[in-house]
Amino acid sequence: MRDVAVIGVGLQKWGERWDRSLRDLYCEAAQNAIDDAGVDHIDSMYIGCMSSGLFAAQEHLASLMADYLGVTPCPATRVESACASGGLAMRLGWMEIASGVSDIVLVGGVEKMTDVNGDEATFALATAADTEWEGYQGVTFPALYAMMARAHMEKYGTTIEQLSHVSVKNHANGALNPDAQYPFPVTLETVMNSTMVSDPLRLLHCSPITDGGAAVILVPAELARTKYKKRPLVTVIGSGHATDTLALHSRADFTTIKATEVAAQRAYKMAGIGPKEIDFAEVHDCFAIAEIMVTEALGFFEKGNGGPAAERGETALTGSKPINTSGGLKSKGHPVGATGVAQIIEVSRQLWGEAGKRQLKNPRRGLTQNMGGSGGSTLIHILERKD
Amino acid sequence: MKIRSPRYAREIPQRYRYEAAKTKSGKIFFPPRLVYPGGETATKHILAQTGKVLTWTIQSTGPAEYADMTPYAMAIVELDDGARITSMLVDVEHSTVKTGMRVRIEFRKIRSEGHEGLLCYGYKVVPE
Repeated sequence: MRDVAVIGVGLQKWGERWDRSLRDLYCEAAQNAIDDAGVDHIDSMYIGCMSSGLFAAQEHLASLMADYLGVTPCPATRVESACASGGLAMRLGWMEIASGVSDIVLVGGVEKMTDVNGDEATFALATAADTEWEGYQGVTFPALYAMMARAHMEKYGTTIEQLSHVSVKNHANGALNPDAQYPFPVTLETVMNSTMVSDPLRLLHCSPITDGGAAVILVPAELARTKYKKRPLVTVIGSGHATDTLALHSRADFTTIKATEVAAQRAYKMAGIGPKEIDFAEVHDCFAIAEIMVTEALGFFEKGNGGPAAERGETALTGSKPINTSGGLKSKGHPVGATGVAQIIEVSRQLWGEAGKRQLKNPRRGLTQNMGGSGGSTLIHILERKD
Repeated sequence: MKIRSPRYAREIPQRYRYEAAKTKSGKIFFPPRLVYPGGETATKHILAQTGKVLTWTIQSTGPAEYADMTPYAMAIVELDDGARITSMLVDVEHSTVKTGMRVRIEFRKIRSEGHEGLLCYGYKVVPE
């Protein structure tokens, strides 16, 4: 296998982008990445997108995006794994270069979520759960994560204050990210008094509905060393992918994300390192409880210690294991298919030293964790700066 | 988004009659599948009608067709045969809902669909 490097990234301001269509969001991010990398062509492209059919009544994104990016007949592949679609696009782009099939690959993700009303968006998102045996019963995604939160609280004593500290921390980080949908801080009191969505989860424990695109350019590390060398070399040293049951009720333990544990073990094994060697991570905080469970599943904290660690500030920018320096899904926004790619962008920027006001001090290794549904799929990547 | 009638009718054995499958090794699958892990075979099994709440929430929001029922309790229930379902928990004071509480399945209207108000049925759970 060849080593694979990230050489360029692109996105745009996320939020309710009524001025941008589905195709605009993808192509804007993609062109920004192409310009940023300085490549004069791409050999292949990926589009991570969960549900353009339900959100925008548009499928066949391979043709649409290649056409509107002006690169036909470039091979294009749209991939879907619910909220992990972007992470999956990254893995396939990485594979395509590692295998030697292509040299310059555009990996992008997109979701246009505000062309439908709230009910329709809720319906589209709910299709990431089991439509027949969860959705039909009236369950929503906040409800599924609320049931995980309840189980975690009852098993480990995790508190609502600890969940709320996750939101406060992510908003503090997002306030330093000009591309974030909600770039402002919130107080613990505001989070804990926000509207109840699904007990114990309140509105500010939940990620928002967002329009956005994200894209990165991948090349073989050798090409980055010889031709695209304006930045420190950042390569993918580990990739992990795993699935679990679609329905939450089919899982043995509601207090952990098994697919994340397994994907992490695979990525760590490939990288030849463990969780202690990871300096920081971008994780899938679709709900505050998810960040706590994921930081435990990744091995950053013992089971049950994710909440106390968040409360103590260990996951803050200045903590021992900064999590979601970008603001995470909570503050940066969660355009479902773009999220996994945007995680790669944040980790790359941190490793390049280009993260602006939220820049960490000389990080060497960052991890991304992107998951679908209530944890039915997980993609993990570990990136390292080579000096 | 409407469910077309064949899609609804296909699930009637499970939603009305709680038909599951039990593999030779004793694991219960609800709904039954065409393929079982390890190539096991399975025979018809009717779900136990009582069980306990494993985890729960009170939903202040719901999908459009359930919105007029909010707030409602939702639970993951382990039935006494070991099978698990996600189900609305009804006829209960929300302040009394707790993990471990005993419940039983009842056949109920789940929602009315579309402008015509077509009735869709299935299972909910109530305190035992």
